Amino acid sequence: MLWSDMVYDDSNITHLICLDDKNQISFWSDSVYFDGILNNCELAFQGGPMVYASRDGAIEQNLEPRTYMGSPHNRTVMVLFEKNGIQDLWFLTLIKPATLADVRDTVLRESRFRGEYDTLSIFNLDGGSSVAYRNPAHSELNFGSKKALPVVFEIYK
Amino acid sequence: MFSLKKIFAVSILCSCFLTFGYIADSATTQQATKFTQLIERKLSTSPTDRAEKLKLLMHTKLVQIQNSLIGINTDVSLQKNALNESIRRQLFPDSFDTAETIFDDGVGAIWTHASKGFGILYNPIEPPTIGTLASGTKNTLVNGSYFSRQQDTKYHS
Repeated sequence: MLWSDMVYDDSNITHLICLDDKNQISFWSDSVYFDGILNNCELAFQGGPMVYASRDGAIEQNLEPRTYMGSPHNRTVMVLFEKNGIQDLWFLTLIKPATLADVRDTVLRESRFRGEYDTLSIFNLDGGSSVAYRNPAHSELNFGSKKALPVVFEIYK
Repeated sequence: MFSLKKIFAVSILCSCFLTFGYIADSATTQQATKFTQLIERKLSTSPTDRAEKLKLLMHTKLVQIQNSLIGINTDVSLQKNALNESIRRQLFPDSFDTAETIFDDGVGAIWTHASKGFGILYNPIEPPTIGTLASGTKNTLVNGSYFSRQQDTKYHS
């Protein structure tokens, strides 16, 4: 499959997530990712919108101008903490309908991570059916079992 | 005298009481606490190995009840699951807040750590069937349908 086959012109999908051969994650806005960037990605997929925060409190986000941010959905988001150049990746599943602003607040409230990063990036992977979550230890959470779901992440243990 | 029948009876009872949503509220948590205390009191009168077996069986039954309700998104089914889940978390507290997983009942958040990275299991152009995901020991995270525009469906975030 060509990378170009995976790229859709959807205004809600604002970024590309790229995982390079050193397992480093980078985010690229939709204006630049189409050509050269993809060639350097071992793995890439689209998503968005995105929130970026630094430890000094500055928050940049591309959520506010968008009307759909107000719609509560069960969501899956990628949360990337970075400290001293080291990345720490978490996936966050919201099993209670939440707006993107709610997601941002949930992340910023989580005490385990408070102050433990230089920057953090919150990346909306999807709303709606993204409630589907499969984890062998907690299979009861797989509410999406009757849906055909196109993207499946494998989280290495 | 403690018996399997009683355990199952309690679990069935659990699935019949009304609560409020999948995320346990305080009333549900209190109700779950009562059941949990009852179960643990009964278990304490059994020999250790038998108590462990019964506890594991209880765990399995609660999950089975929850699984049977997946896809039935009525208030009652969600309420049943909320109570079941709350009991299970109280019976097995260690399972729900580890270095790799955090459950936050308050906001309905599940955090999954991808400390060793992640991959994409399936080509989004060919959606997997959930049955193929059931085996294996790795966590998988199933994301929703933002790739489904290729089917002319709408992104729904």
